[in-house]
Amino acid sequence: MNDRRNTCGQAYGLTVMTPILEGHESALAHYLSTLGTGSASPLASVSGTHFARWVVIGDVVYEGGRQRPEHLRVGRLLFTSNFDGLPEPYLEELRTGLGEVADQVWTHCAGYPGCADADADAFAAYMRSHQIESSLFFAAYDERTVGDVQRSLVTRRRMIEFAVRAQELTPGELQAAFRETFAR
Amino acid sequence: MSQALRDPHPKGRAKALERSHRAGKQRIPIRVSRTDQLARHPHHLAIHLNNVRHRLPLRRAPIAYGLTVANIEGKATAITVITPVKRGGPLLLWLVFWAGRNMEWTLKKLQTLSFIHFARWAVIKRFPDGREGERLNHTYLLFESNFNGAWEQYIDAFSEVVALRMKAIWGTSLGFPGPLPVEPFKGYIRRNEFVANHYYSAYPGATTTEIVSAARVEAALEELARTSAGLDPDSFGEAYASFLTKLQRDL
Repeated sequence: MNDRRNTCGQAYGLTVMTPILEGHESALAHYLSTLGTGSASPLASVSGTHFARWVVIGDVVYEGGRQRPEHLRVGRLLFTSNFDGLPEPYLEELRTGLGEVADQVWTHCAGYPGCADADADAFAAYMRSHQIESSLFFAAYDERTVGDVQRSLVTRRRMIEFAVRAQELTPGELQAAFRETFAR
Repeated sequence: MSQALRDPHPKGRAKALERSHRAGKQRIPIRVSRTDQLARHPHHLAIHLNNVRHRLPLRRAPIAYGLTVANIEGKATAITVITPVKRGGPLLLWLVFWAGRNMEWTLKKLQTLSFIHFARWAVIKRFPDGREGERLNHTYLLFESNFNGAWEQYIDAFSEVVALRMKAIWGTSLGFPGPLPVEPFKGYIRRNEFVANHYYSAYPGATTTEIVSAARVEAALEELARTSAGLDPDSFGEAYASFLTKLQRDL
């Protein structure tokens, strides 16, 4: 695995595809559909995650033409994440942050070792052994972490509110309000 | 939607279906439930139906994936596409992606599409299975993107702004109609797209442009705070006015 190809700035693109146990696709898809969204998503507990997804791949698509008809032996669960930093610390974050949810998801996949503390190394090894190397990975703000992005969005919102509020202030009042609002 | 549902390879598909039927395989109907959700996002319905239509008869129980619309999280949209690669395609892809990794201008162009947060391509020669991997007759190309805005606009922009790059990459995939005209291209993406079963964004309320703007605002604000510390009120007022003028597009 060439981790440089999965990296853009400080951001890392993880692609993991695990074989789903025969007949478990629908149960897995159903479980994933019951997970909370937004801040209630279990992935919100995995720090450093910008974007992530689970996708149940039942089979390859048949395009016709010169494509030879073929099937995957078993379906695959695709997990992708765009996160800050290196894969090893992140996989540990993933294990501890998801906790029981990780078990509920990947227990539908062959060879999954579990996410208990005793299985920490096995969990990371399982993810790494099912990882697919990126050929090209692009991050629009590659040096900014999740924390940086969220903080600057809050700052921008405060600045917009301040600019509206400050329109009627005299220079003296403006300076005082600025110091009060943006004092470090 | 009707165009997306049209089969661009009727002969090839018919032949394959014929072969499958001769082999005694049965087409298993896939139940579509939660149509109310799908109806609110018509393109997901198109993707779902096309995925059903364009797969060979399944050899196992029907899968309920795609029945939950999880591709959208706030302003962010997920796209996941897996396409079969032509013979000889892997070598061309190796060259194209080598150029992408080593020639800065190729990725810079993606930044001009100012609505992509993260994107990746991956060549799948073997589908991981914990051992040596499952090898199919074809290599497959995975594309995933996280972007803000509507799916249609995203594909429109890909088709118009980075048409040559799309041709260089997906031109190696079977059935790719070319980036222009855009409707067949959209149909191709729909047929080969998989709807996410769960999707997460750490900042669902923000677009890529807002995030880049926020970074500029934060940097300029820090500079104003640092350089205006000793100014009298009138001078501060001028510095503040200049600051606002400089940032008017970012606020």
